[in-house]
Amino acid sequence: MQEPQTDLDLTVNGVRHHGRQVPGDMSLVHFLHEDLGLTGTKIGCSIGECRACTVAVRIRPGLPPVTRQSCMTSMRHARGWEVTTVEGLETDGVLHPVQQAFLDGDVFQCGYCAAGFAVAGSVVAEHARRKRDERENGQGGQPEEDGEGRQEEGSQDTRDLVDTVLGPHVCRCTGYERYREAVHAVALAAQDGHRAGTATAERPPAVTGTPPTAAPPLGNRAVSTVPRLSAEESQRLGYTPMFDDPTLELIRLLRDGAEIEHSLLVQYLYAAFSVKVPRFLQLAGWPSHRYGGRPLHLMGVAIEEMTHLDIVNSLLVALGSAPHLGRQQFPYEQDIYPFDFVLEPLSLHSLAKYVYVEASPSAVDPDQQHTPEDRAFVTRLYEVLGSGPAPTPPPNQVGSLYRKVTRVLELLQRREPDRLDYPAWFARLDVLREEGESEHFTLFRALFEGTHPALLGGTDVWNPDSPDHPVLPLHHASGLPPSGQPVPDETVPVLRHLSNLHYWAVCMLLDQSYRRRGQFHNAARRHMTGPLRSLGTALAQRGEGIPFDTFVAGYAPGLGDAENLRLCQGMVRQAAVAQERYARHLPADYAHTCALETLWELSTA
Amino acid sequence: MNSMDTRLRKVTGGKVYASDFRPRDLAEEGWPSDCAHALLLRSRYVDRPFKGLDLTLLPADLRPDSVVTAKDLPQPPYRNQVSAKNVQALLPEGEIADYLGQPVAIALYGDFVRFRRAAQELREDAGPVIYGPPPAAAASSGTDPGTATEQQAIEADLNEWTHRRFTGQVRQAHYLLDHTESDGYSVWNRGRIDRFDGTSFIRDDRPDIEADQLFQSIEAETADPTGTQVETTTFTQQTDPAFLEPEAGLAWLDRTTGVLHMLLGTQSPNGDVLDILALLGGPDHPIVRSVKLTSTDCGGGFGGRDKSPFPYFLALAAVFSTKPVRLAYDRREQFQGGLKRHGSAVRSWVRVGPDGLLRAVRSFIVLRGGVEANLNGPVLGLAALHATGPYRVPRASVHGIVVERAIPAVGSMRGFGIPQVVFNLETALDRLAVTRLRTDPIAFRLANVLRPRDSAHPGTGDVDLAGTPLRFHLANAEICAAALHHPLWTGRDDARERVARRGDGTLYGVGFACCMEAYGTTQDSVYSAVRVTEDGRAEVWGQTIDMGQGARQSLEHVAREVLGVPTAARLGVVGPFERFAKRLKDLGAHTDPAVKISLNHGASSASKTAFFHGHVLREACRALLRLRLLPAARTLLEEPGLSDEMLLAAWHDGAVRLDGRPPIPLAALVRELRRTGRETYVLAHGYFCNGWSQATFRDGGVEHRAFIDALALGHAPEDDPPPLPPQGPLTPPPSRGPGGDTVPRSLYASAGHLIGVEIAPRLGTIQVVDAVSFLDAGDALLPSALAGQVEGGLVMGISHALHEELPPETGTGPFVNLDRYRLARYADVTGIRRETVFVPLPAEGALGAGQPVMRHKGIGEATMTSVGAAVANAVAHALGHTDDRCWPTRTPIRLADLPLPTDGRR
Repeated sequence: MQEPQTDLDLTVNGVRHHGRQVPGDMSLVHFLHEDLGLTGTKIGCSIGECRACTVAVRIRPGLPPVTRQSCMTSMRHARGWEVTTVEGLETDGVLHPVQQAFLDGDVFQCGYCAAGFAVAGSVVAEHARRKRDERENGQGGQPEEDGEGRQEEGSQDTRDLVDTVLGPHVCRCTGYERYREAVHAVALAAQDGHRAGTATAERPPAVTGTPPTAAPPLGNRAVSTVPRLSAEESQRLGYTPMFDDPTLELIRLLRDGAEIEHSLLVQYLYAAFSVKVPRFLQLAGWPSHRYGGRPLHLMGVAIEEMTHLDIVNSLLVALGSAPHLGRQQFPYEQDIYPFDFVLEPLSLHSLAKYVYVEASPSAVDPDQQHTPEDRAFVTRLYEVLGSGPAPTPPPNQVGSLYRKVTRVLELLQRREPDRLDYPAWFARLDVLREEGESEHFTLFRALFEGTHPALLGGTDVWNPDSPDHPVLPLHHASGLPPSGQPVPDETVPVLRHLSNLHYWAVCMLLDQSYRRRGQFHNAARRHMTGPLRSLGTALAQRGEGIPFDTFVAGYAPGLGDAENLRLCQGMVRQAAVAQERYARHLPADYAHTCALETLWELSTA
Repeated sequence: MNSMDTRLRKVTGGKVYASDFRPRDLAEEGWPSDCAHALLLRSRYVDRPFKGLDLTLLPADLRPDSVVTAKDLPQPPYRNQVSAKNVQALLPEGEIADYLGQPVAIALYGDFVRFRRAAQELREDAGPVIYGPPPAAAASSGTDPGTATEQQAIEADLNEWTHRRFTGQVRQAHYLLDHTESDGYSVWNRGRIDRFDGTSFIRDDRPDIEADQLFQSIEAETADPTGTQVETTTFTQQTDPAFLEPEAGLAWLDRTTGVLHMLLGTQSPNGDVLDILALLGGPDHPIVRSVKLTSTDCGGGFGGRDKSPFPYFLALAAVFSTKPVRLAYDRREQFQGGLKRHGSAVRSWVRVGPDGLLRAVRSFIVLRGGVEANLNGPVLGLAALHATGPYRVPRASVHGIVVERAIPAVGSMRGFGIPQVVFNLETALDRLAVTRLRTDPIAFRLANVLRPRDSAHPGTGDVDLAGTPLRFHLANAEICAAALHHPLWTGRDDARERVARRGDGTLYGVGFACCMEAYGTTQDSVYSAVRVTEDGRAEVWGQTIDMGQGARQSLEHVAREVLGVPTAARLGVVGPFERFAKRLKDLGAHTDPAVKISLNHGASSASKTAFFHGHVLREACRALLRLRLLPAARTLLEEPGLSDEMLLAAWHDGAVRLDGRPPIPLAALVRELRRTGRETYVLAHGYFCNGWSQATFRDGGVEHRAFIDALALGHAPEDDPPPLPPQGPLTPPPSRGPGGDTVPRSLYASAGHLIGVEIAPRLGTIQVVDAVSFLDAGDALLPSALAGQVEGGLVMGISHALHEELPPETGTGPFVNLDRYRLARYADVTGIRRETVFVPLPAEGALGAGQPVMRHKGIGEATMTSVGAAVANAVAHALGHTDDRCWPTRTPIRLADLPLPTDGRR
């Protein structure tokens, strides 16, 4: 559905833009182009692959800048950021040393990628300068007097930094070497302290955004101050909560919600990869990289589940709780739903489950259907579900959960009116429920009934023997190697194993990201749309599904923040090690630079 | 804005490319600031009829403000066609699409946010585009191009074509050559073969028995099992130009004047304007009177913007929009609807005599094209002409075909068909030398290369595959000799051993491949203009455009070399040259059957700037000097007797600097010209076809003979100045042989690559680690730009050889992006040990006696052409040349297809 407007608060090239709203689903690059009229940042692919759209971002003042792909960043995620675009690299009319080096070295040809390279180069230069500052301030590193070996090592570090940051960039005209040499020279100069001209890589913005105040930690309110739930409150809730403390109840419900959204996300992804391509690509939608609008295919729904997970986890964090990326290993127990949830290829039966779970209670209540078509649909639904005329136990749709969340949040608002930005959260929860009950339901019903445009012209589409059946019978198996044994050196086990590593890395990155105002959202997304997509496709071509095993240690197993960040790095590093170890099994479109780039980004945190 | 300013803008984020502009940026040119946004809705099927649009399927707020469909294009005045007659611009209701992705409608939105939301939805799911059921027959006969794999389909086509079987209307190109005797069969001696009709070759509408006999004779020779020969079948993949800026543009129909304003980055500005006018019905259109095209620099081109269908849709959107409109593809639309490079299948027989010299080549070429809406024919013609490479082949039989399919247009991408045939021939020769002759493959090539006419020994020269005597400079021999003695080549076996001793399973090998690549087109007709200004500068107007190849800088450099003053070039100019051409046509001297000098306007390709545009601009500058600036200098110096030679010798850095006299700068000369009402602007036309045209002009008592054929003096481009009448007849170049047909090509640049690869079976990778480019570029106009082209051409060649592969669903929807189409990124190709060896031109330049001294050749494409084959030959060396399978036969080269010596095979 259409994202609500989001409050604009963005500093671009030192100028703060705030005090109005912009569409939350607008990408940062479109905002730069169409709203601010800054067209220096280029669009090459719109999905974060080519890096023409690279901007430098500090998500909080004082943090070192990192590169971000402005084409795959939506405005709802960019609040409070400081962004430097190619237009902002000059200082007082003097070119940034990277810009000057690009001109002096004749490094570009058509020049369309130059802006992205220039911004990325300025980020490299800034990191090199910080390294020097740390050295001069005695914060680690060795003095240059240590001799040539040390200098060479420093130079190699710089070379590695340049290669890591520029590695994924695409240029179609040049041989890249001139970019490499130009940025390397500027980085070395920045690191050694003789910087060309008066330009500086870093400039504090004219006005900095005020970071929102952190949520009060849990446990600083005495037990005695928690009032008991009144009868009236209980009545308003419409159900009996487990806890009298609305915060605790919300956390319970939201963690449940996170787990459900996560499970649905994984199931829909799995189903998307089970679709026969290219004929039914429109149904799979897995080349999609969208940021809003109604979902039109399985990938669109999966992406929305991703944003739902985002809303739920953000609310958890706002309540002072840890984010929750865990979920049960499939299959789910039957006491939550009237049927199993398993990772399975798309089928009429799995569609019936999706229809049911996304529905509003009235949409699948046999007594509330008014047209013959609707009545036939509901009858058929329960037939396929095999659960008789109406489900027992009673419906447990996702939407119902969020109705509860909303009501408990209203209770919290009455009790602690200043604690949260309640209207914003209500709006986001409405979006979440509406997307499920209306849009996901509509899509799945159209698929269930065979009226989706992708199924046009086919007959008996859900019969696996029909030539128009859109699904590959994917085989699901765990990617965990037998305890104490290596991953078999064969393509399918390797692809499964590496999918798990990237999946776990995504969960850990997201966990870290929710704790750090979305700092690693881009990175998580890169792993999903890059390696995980590529591995999923390659597995599907072999009739296999992504295993999506759960990681028994959870996604924040560390003692504290610093430990968790290190463990996350460890997981990404493991993916990097595994991709080299098993390189010959990897598909041609596997993005080798992804993990290395993430490691660099994690190192800047 | 000169090239310095443009380059500065490119690193600071200033507006340069078409995609940067919005109508509000063009207020000074009178554009209203509002901007509508257009989106193309495309057909996803070629097996079922399009039944119309049901926009109620869209959420109400995402429905377009207006929609343009075929119904809005009544004929006349409209001609609902893109360049080819059989392809409709917009598909009418009730019809089956001509090709996958054919636009069915243009949706227009008045504001960006709504447009983008709707675009996001419609690009992913064009549900509102309604189709009827597929006809029963089509559904079962598998007409869906996605049914057979690309590979299976092209193999089947090649097998049919090798037996000279084909179905339907197809484009063909044939070269039959017998150079064992001076009057032997060739295009030069007999004329062009039109086609093979299933029984006979047809020339001049008659069966050509001589051609049939030659064909059979070569067929019999290559079927004889006693000789030494190799048969080679290779496949190259379809690729996307993947220029980084997706096509974008702005257009606005000023209804008060009838001028359709367009701002666009295109390689074919002149052709686009003509085609758009034809689409709109020319003078019959009720509103549009003319098209005013502003060309911007392109964010890459590589042939993918040469007669692209994009400008048609932009123009149509504007004609039906009440305000300026922007059309900008996203990458997925670019992949879906943009021009591609032909995939190929080539089968050849190369036969060699006991003396190690080539005897015969027989070759069948199948190019997989799209719907015929671009340059299938010319690409095929050039591929066929290059099928015997830079080699002396006494008897050759080459037959090409383009299979047109219902997919988006496949066009004229960089290389123009040549890399596809070079991949076949160069891997074939390598294998022939190594496995059959057991000789050094470069030495074998060197013994067989074509050499140009030796000016000291007339009549000694070779001919190309068309039989055209090679009049002009070629460096095939020099390039092979340089490669033969290069340490990378001489040390290749030692290096292979060294890497093997690492013990990690890595294999190393070195390979060589070379080519000679025609540059320019068959008949190059070029216009250029220059004006000098009172502030002592020069302005240049050119037809070429800048897409990264440095055209602007090059032309500015040429004008500066002659005139010695700062210059700014305007490129992609449409208007003044067309008006000048009209005047020349009306005068009739060029179109006289005895002369036949083409006055057409060509497109911009990467290999044309230095040689063609540079030459005509240089002639224009020289004419301006001799006919206007020098006479003005005489006046100011009050020395009417000073000769041109003395004055030209004294012309340095934009001023006449005679000993003992104060310098007279250009600015003073321009003021003097202005004072006396004399012209400061000159426009010239030149024509190249196996040589430059020539003419003599007389003005004010000065006789000026030059290698151009039309000249005009004026004050400004808008003046539409009349041509100076030439003195005597125009001298056309010797463009025809005894057979009466225009020579296909006469200008070739030679190039070669030595490539070192490392194969890591453990990692599944093939990596280029060494590269030496050998180039016959002549003197670099701009050394740094040339070196950049050499680096970029190498990397594009590597990317084609090792990385790029279009997913099968390209075209069926906007499904492909750079995540799955992996072209070589920074991390893939940095760190190559690289070197370039330039082969110098002789003193007389590229053309020799009787022609202007030309010091530059066109090598924008040759930098890339032989890379793929050299990579393949390096792979074969790394694999130990153990058997024929060591030579890769398809691109992208994948380890899985190769016989790895260890158990590391996948």
